Amino acid sequence: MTRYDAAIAPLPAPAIAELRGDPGAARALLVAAGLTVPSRPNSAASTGEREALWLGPKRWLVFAPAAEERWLEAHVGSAAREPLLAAAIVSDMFAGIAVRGAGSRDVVAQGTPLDLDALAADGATMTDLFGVAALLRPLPAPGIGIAVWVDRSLARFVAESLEAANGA
Amino acid sequence: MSAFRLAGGGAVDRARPLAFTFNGRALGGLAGDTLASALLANGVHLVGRSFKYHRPRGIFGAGFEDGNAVVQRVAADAPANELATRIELAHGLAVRSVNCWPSPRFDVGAVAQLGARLLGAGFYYKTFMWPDWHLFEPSIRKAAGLGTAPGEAVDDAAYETRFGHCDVLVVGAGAAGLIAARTAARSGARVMLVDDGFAPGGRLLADARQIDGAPAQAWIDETLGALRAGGARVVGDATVWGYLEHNMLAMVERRPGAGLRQRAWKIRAKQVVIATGAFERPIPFAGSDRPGVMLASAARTYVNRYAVKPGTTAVVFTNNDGAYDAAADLARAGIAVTVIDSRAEPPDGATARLSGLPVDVEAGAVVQEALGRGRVHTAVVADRGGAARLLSCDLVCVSGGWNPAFHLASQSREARAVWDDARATFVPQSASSRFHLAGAARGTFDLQGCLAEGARAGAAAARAAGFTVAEAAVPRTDGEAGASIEPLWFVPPPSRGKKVFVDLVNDVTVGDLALALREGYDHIEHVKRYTTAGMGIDQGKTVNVNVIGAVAAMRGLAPDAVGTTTFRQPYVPVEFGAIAGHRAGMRRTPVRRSPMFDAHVAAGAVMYEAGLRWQRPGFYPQAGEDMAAATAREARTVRTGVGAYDGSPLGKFLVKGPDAVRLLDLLYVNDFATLKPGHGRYGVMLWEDGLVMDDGVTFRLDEHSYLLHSSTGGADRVHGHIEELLQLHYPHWRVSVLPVTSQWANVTVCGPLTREVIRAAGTDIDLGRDAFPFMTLREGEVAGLPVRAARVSWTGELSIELNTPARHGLALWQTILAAGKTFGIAPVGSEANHVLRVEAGYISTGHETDGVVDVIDLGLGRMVSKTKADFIGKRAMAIGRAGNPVRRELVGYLPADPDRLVPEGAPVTPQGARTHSEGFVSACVRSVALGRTVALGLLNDGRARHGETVFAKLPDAVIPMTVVPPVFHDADRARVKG
Amino acid sequence: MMLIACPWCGPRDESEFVCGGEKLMPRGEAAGLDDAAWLERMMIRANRRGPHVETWWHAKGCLAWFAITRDTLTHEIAPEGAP
Repeated sequence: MTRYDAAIAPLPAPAIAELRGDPGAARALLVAAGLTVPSRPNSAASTGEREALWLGPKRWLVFAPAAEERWLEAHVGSAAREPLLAAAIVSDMFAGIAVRGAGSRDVVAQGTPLDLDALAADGATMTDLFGVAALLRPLPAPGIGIAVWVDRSLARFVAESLEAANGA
Repeated sequence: MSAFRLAGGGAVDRARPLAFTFNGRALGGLAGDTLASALLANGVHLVGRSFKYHRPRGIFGAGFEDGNAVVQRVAADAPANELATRIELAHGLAVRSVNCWPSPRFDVGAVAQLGARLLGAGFYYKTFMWPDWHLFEPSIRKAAGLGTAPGEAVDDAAYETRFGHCDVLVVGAGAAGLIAARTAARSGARVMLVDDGFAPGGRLLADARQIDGAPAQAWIDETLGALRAGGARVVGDATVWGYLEHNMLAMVERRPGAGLRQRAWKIRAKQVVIATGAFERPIPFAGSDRPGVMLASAARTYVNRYAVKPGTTAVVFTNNDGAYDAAADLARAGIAVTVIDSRAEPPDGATARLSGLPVDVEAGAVVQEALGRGRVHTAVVADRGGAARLLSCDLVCVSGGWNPAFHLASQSREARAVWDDARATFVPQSASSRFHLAGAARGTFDLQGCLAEGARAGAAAARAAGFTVAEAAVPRTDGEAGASIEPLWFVPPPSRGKKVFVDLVNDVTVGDLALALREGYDHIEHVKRYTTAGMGIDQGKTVNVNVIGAVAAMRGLAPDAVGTTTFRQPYVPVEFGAIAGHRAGMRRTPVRRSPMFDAHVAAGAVMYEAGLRWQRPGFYPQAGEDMAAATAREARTVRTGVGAYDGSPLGKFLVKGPDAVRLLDLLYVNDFATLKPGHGRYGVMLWEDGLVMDDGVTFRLDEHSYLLHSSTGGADRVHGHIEELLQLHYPHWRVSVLPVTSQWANVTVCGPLTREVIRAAGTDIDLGRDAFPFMTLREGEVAGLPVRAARVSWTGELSIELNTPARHGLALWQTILAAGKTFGIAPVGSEANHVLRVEAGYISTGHETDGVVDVIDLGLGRMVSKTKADFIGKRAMAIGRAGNPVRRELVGYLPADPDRLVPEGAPVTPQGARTHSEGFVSACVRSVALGRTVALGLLNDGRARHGETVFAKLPDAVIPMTVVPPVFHDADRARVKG
Repeated sequence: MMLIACPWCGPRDESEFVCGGEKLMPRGEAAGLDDAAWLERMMIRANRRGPHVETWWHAKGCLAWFAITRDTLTHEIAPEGAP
């Protein structure tokens, strides 16, 4: 048993697309793809198994099951013909780590100055975690947990940092 | 039971005796004791020797205010300079004295007292200077200091650092803090209560008070219970040691549990209540530093909280009312007490506290001297007329007044220290909207007042944090002596030779203060530094106001005119491990790894950081190879056969939009409007001041889409730069940028046999010279993996970059190496890449670029657009060139000795003389193409000096070199374009 | 560690940001300056004691670039246009 007994494990790799650019065009594209548009800064909106995240005034991520990468590419990714948007499949750019358990907050709070208690259930935000940019998203109930998404190149560093914070 | 333990009372557990040793002597104490209280229970007063003069010293306080009783625990993980008053007694504890040998009683170092005249304040500026200060320095340094740090790293010490958040942070769990926390918590605010004592309660634990008719402990317990039940976080044995910006506070938790040694917090609080109490100060007199002389409040603490008599016959020397309650508690414990009050007429409210007790009070008198060496045995009492008499005693309790502990408020920069005549001390004055002071920290010394203020502060803090607070009744307390005081900064010594110590920790006397003033160090900050008063491990908690008062008296000023010194963090000593936290050890800083990282390590590559935290293979040594041999082999393999390197860390950005070309034209010196889809162009990016910022190839993908490459180390900088331009300077431009660096793994195949290897791996891309020309892009598959192939080269050889989604990176790398086996392929690291690019004459940002040369100096003048009205750096470059006709230009150097390597950065000076340089060597390698050493560098008017001999100036040699064009291989780029 | 008010995210810790330094006249406007004034904009900073306007990039956040007024003595932060 580790100090905070959090369960830390990689998340299965989903299909991910990123959009940068004009908010009006981005929303229209998401709607055309049948996705719910997040209405609040730094929040997520799901449609079935797909989820759109609004992470910046001009930045969105869309998560979908891995098997739907073709669909994502066609509707959101680099196939987007909209000149006012830069879009790409970035499934390979992110690595996800789940931190679960009653001690999950104690673990993550060691790496980020973000107030985790203030993160809503549908919250999704970038922040500083152990010195690198990370996306934090509360995991759905039951249980307490946080999903951490970081640049793939930093995955091992962040996982090791979380394990050390867990007291492993 | 120990000789000085009271039969009943106290917060100690007589059913749990603990054994410990002090200087090897076996002693006994009780659970709940500190080391100090246990020593006193055994009648041990002599604890160590003082810092400078090696005078016998004892226990002066009962907590953090004592800087005197410094001891050393005998344990592998014991830090230096622990206080006996701050060590919780544990079974088996072994402790020894410091700064004395062989023992505190017989200390050889005491000989320092004979040389005392030479060791006054600032002695090291005046003495021990001839013939050379450094002769004396080692001995003096060895004699200085108190404790010992652990000799070896304590491996299993686990520290944690974390961030915390709350609506109201209450600092101090004395009466004011407890009620403030309770009041705030009732409103629903997230409350954190931090206290530095071993148990919460502050002075309530020491003063035997009643709240609502019952002993104060009941109220403490009830309040804590309510707080915890309501979800407040109560942290004990923890100190808030620093007030940082915007209500972030640093706190260290010394007993966090969970297998941690310490936990360091950075807490962001919406509102803070500062209820940090106050410190009693002594009245310095000759011999007041002797063992057996302590603060009156400390004596009271030992009696009430630890059930220990610090002596049998006590003199209580005071100038204020508060000491009468202490005297009364001592008397009730069976100690024979005499009160010496320096005031001519002590108020009735004070003397009434002694009614019914056998205590004598002598008014208008002072204690002039304490006699005794290892323990005080006599107090010399002098009356107004100067007539002195001797009083036998084994304990002198001193009270000179109380100093509000508002250090934390002061660190916030929103509180100033103001002199208060009635209290004869400094009190904080503040209009802050971020914190609220309450209780003794504010100058309110009566318990009823502290409770009222605490409740008000807690309510105000909760309201300011946005919560509604219900008023509640404040508990009633029992009575106490008043707080009137007549300042007495020190008692002049009965004769000149006798020292009056005003700072026990650093051995500073009143005479030292006078010396500082005589020598012109008037300002209180200078007095502090010249004498070191207040600079010890107690940071002058009981000292500073006495120093200010004494200096004011000596200068004939009001204390307000002298002022206080700046309060600085940390408030108490904090272990370095607590500050380093997770940054200690191997996970110190972020590390980036490419998808092929494990393969490089498995192949024996020597990995190191090469830009922006990326771990890259430097070289892949085979059996018996050193770095030079491996590098030469890898470079040679690329020149004569084929190699593969991992180019994944290179920065990659998608640039998209109708105004994409406008952005590229703004960023780069060259023209991008003519770039066609499927084609790439090498661009150089400048800073606004005309210096080279970054370089890389940009490919056009389709009508509005481009793929921009940056250097590995410059990727984040370029991202920020582009976003700044688009958001702050050109917000109407219709172009977006999306970094995709880690989305793509990059296997770069290079060398004459590049095509053969890729064909052997299997591809549907036509790799032919005309089908796939230099600086173009092709999409397809290699070995069944999706690939975007680019003909880009930095090596001076045919080179094809194979970009594939990172999930395929490892497979592609392994496939290429397997397919290339029959062609003798070798994996190539950064070192070999460096050789190849130097031979080929390609510049590298950070090597050939510096704070002087522009893109034309670097030989890239032809790239600079002649038609663009504007690009970043254009104007500065023009102004710079107009103002500086002598240009430092890119050249090649051939060392006269073909085997001689010249260190990077070596200056080139006229005739190799020790004078201003005319250039420098930016890179020097053993060329595999030419079989000799070659170098690149910069040289004034270099382009006009080809063939000339110049000299690299090293500290121990001068190396002649011939100036040549800056390219040694494939000058016509035939191989690269082939 | 300062708390910086990002216009999109609200107050966030300083470690999420990169400081862009004193706010400069936009490039387009600066093009109209003569050489001396242009060089001054490039190299000279007012380095004010008291409130000054500076830019920050929310690099580990929403990627917004924005300007704030910060008092260099007290670190008090206010919106860009604050007096």
